[in-house]
Amino acid sequence: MPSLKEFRNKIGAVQSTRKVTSSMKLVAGIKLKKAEQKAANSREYATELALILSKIHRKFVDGSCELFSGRNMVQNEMLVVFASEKGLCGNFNYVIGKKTAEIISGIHQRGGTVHLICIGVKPFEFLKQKLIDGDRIELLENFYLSEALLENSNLLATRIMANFSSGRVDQVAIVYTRCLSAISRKVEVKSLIPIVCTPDSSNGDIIFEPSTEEILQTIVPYNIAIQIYQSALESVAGEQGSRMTSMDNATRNADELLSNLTISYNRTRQYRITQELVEVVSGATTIAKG
Amino acid sequence: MRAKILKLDRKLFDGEITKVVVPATEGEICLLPHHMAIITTLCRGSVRVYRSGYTHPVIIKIDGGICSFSTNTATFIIH
Repeated sequence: MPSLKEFRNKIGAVQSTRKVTSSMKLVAGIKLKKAEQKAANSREYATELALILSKIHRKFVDGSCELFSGRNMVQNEMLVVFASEKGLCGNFNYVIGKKTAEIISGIHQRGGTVHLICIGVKPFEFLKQKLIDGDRIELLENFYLSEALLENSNLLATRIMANFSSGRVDQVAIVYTRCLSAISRKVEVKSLIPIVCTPDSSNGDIIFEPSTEEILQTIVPYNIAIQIYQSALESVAGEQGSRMTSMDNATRNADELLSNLTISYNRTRQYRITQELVEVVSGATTIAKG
Repeated sequence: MRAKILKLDRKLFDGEITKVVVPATEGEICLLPHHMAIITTLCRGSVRVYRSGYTHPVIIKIDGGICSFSTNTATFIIH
């Protein structure tokens, strides 16, 4: 049986762990709210931008623009994966890693190659093992820094456009976690190129100034940057939600552990007192008999 | 007619207007009710929004963006 001191040490350790997990839960809750607010603020902006794109798409329903219709031969596919920079967020990274691995194996089965851009260090090593010869992988660190997020998104969008225009990639998609609520998340795959538009129901002609092509040159990279920005915010919200849930579970586990340890500590203490009493009584009896 | 001016992090204007003057890349355009549907890129300048019931315009300085006008609604996506 462990000594009382050992029990006290264990209880102390669990108490300090509980303090850490409960503060991490609070911090994650605040960060989740901030990220959700930011994502909500930019949602209308992204929706309106997509609406404008769908109006432009009406001009290219004949398939004359490969940004909308896609390339006939898809050989190289680019995947941008939004994961986490830090751990202690439950199965957040595992789920997104697993989904990406499934997509990669699908591309390999079709005979294509993958150019993987991993945002967030956590699933990098896992995803690296899923690649074969001819595939490429890149790690982008410190992407989520709030003050540089939009700039980073713009830079990545420019790179994506350059890769597509030069023919190095034929299709681009992003894999990210959509935050449905503080406790539920869903991994989603969104196509950046070809651009997926909701059909525009309005009728009548539209004037394009300057020309449709020039507008496309401006709007497409910008739309990609906004999609990346929006997905990054959703992903951050998902990560914080996942962290909050797992820290809540950890705090509850620590509470349970503390309660069990306290019971065991009291039982041991009681046992020691009873044992000492028995010793004193039996000693006194022996002396009285002698 | 209605105008919506959106920035990435917030909405700058949303309301009923009588006309709006926009700094399009090919020159200023004045959008009045029942204007034909138009999509244009914007350059650095000022968007002048004339609200219903006011004589003076609301002036919003922009660095660029995209403007779309259809079904009597002007939507501005500001960079």
